[in-house]
Amino acid sequence: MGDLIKTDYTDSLSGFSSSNGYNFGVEGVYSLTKYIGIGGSFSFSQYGSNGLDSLAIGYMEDFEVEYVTLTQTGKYNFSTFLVGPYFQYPFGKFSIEGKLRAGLLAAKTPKYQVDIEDLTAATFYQNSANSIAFASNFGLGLKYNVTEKLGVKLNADYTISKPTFEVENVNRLNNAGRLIQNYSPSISYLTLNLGVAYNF
Amino acid sequence: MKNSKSLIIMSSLAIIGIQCKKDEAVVTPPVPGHEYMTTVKLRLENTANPNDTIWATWRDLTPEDTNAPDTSLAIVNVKKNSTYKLSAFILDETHLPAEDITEEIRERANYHRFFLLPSSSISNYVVVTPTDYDSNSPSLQLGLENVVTISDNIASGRLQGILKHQPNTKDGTMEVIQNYWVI
Repeated sequence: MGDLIKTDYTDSLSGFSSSNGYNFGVEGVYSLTKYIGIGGSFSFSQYGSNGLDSLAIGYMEDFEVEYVTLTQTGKYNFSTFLVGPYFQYPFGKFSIEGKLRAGLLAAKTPKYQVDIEDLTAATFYQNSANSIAFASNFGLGLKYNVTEKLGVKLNADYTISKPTFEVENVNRLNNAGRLIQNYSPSISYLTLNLGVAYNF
Repeated sequence: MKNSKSLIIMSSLAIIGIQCKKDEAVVTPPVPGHEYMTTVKLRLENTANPNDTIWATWRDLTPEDTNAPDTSLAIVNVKKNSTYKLSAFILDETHLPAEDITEEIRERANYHRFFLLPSSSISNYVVVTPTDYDSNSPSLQLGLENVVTISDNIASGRLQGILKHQPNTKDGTMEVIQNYWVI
């Protein structure tokens, strides 16, 4: 997950994201030869939070207060649209597949609300932000053809991107505490998928 | 081999155990230990005569009980028609060596403000002007360093010192009182 799974309050790239999430998608491949094809995919991934305690404690220390309540709303969402060549090697009912793709990643960050003690006026927000960036991906797959038309497939895909988020902060009255405005983390994540394949 | 097309519907292996998580996470870490501010010292230096330097000390070494603070050293005599450079120092003397909290306040100037307020009997004759600023945008006064102007008609009065801790609420006003001393 790259910078997103860092939980160091003092590191402005830390994303406090969980390293586990879920992913689903759809993929299509057009075979040009026995071994080469071209294809594309759409997939959606979502990751929750991790290490929010250290984020809250960081704000407590930076504002020198006795307690902070940190609320994260939403999760990290990634949608990818990828196209590129597919390389396949059939043997018996199995085929091994390799792919190298590129495209776009649309990402969304969660929203954070920081309540400082019971000082209502002190509450501030780091709003959710969106970004679209170039993404590259390589992956491996193993397909088993149950029938001529129907098969099952196991995919492992590794996606890399570096989106830039313009983050809106609300009610940051004083120049204190972690403030994220331009957030450009390195994102890399591995997805494992089990799917159903239909051959036309 | 003829050209063929395949459509693959994928779903994640990691889906189990993740989808039941709520869309909102709330954390409230435990309360940290306390720090005392037992002592306030004011250093007044006559700008026309640096040898004319006087100190005032307000001290409460038992901050958790009802014992009155020691104000025996909190009385100063200033010259009429004079200007003093006033520096404030805040200490924790509940342990040895005493801890100077002044620097910590300076480092956290963006949400601290030290006010020195003349009582009504001298408010027309004593003007306190802070000279130090924080790094907020726009800059706001901190109040640990001041220039105090004494006029000709000065009489006896009190100078009240108030340290305000205003986390993400500092706006130059006196809202949100969390700590204060009377000198």
